[in-house]
Amino acid sequence: MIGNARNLLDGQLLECDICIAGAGAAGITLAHELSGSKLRVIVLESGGLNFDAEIQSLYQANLNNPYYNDPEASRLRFFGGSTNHWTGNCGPLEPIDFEVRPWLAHSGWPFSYAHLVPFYEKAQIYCQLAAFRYDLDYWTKQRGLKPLPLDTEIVTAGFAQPSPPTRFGEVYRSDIGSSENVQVYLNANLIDINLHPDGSHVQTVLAGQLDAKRFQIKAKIFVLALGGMENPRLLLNCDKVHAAGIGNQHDLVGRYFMDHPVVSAATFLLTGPSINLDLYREAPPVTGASGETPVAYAYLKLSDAMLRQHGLNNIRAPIIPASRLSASDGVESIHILGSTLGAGEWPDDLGGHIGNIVRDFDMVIEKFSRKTFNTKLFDSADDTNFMYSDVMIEQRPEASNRITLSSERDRLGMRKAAIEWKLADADKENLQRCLEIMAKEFGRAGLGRLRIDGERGGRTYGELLSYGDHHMGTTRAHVNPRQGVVDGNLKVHGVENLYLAGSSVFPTGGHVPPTLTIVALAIRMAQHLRQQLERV
Amino acid sequence: MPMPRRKFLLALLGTVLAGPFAGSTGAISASATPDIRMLESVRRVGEAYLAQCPAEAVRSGLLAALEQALAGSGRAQTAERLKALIRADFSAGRTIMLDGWVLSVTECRLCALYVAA
Repeated sequence: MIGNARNLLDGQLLECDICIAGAGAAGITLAHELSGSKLRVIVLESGGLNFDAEIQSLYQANLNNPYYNDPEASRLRFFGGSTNHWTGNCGPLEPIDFEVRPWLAHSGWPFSYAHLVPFYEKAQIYCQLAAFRYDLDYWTKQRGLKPLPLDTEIVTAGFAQPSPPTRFGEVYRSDIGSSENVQVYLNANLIDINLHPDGSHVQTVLAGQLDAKRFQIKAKIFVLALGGMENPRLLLNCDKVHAAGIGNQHDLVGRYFMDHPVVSAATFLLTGPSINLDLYREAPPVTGASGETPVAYAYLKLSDAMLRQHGLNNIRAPIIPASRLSASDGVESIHILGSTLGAGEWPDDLGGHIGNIVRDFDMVIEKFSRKTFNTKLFDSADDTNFMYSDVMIEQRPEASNRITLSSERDRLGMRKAAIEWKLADADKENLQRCLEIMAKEFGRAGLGRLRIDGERGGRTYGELLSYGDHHMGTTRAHVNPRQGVVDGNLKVHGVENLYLAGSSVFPTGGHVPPTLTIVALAIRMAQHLRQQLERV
Repeated sequence: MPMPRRKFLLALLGTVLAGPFAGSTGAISASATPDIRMLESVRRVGEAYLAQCPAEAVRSGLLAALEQALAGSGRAQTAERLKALIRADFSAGRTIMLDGWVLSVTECRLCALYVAA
């Protein structure tokens, strides 16, 4: 059933076996998995069935980095959560991502890739994907295409499957709405968690609306599935029993905040017109008797052997056709001169920029003409002699990147999030080293040359940096409570009936968008919770 | 009559570097026609290499380095031998970064020789 919390009475007490807060990919999957069981489930969703600017504004946060994306824009607060606007790029984390990597501090998950595979297989179905296959052999045969002739012991191909993308709120609304044991309450904001005075377990949670109506839910188990920023924000806000917040006895809640930075990092010049890159390009889904099946496409990455040998974190480098205009150094220099001179400063290498502009003057004129008069002057501006890559990188977990609480409060009276995020120099160096290995392999294979597009007037890691908006790591999982907020079952250390779902539990994030893993972990959690409660 | 050295170098450069250098960007960028683009690229790479490796700025030194690498190759085989050398450079990590481009030492030396010739 899907109901509206506005119809509840002020002060009403609801009871159930499992209370899930949040109806995004994690919360909806968990509820769907529990549907049909003997367990009574309540789902609290802050928003309604559609976007509401007033509710959305509850995401307002203070950012320390002017270039980092505001969660009010990158998240969505209504039924289905951020799957209402995700792009659908899917894949599992890789086996190496689950390992303790000696070169990467704080790496290692509490379970292995192999353990998660059965859940990934089921998650594929939730995300409306093809078979759980992401390997080179399978997809080259499926698509009848050859990969670039690179030494796969050095540079290999990874694969992404495009979800339609699945709008969880739309696709699973009917199933959940008709469920006899799952009750969704829309317009129900989780406001407080009432711990037992000894802190050992959650007794009830307090929920309500902007108009001050409040109600409580009593459950055997509570699950927070609010997202990588809201999970820690809520835990930190609930400070009545533990002054530092729930689960924060070792000052871990909110720390190790990670995203997937996307760096405009490389230009490929491929030699020879015979190089076929179709395997690296998205293709339309295949239509069959059972509907449309997505088709995977490839990107470049380093082999595990290279990562281990050089102590590197992996990157994913898609190969995207670039026009002469879009890759023009002269146009880039115009941008740099504009931003630095506009700020009253001289750019580094002024002579170099002027040289670029003179050499690329036709493209500078072309850019001006297109922008000002919407007129194309030179056909050669659209030549695609080379490729570029916006590289998604694994960000290392750093304690200093964190979600804390600001002194400002939202309309529910909760302190807003303060976001501290920066990319470490070590991550930039890691990217450079990965690209150098790729460049050498391209040259060795006779495929062409690679240019590493380093820092450009402070813009590469500033205004040009983009993000996956994948908020991870803020309530990391580890079997040791001194190193993790949740244990291997994703239960908060020290609180016997409080669980966390979503990417906030990721100890490391790999280079892979997190949704498929979020869904797999939710399926796994459903199995665990059923085992916990149905055996009683 | 032997082919003049500069002309021979141009022929070699055309064979060995035309693919990598034509129509690219940055240090090996160009405009107008492909041939001029390539030569402009070669010149820029050569100058950048000489600036980065001034110890090799003497033409005789560059020639000696290339001749040593090409020892035993006949003129007809030289282009293919050079291509193999360039690939071997990448394989062995004998590369240099010019304006972000990761280039083999051999191809940089060829460009530098053209500038110095």
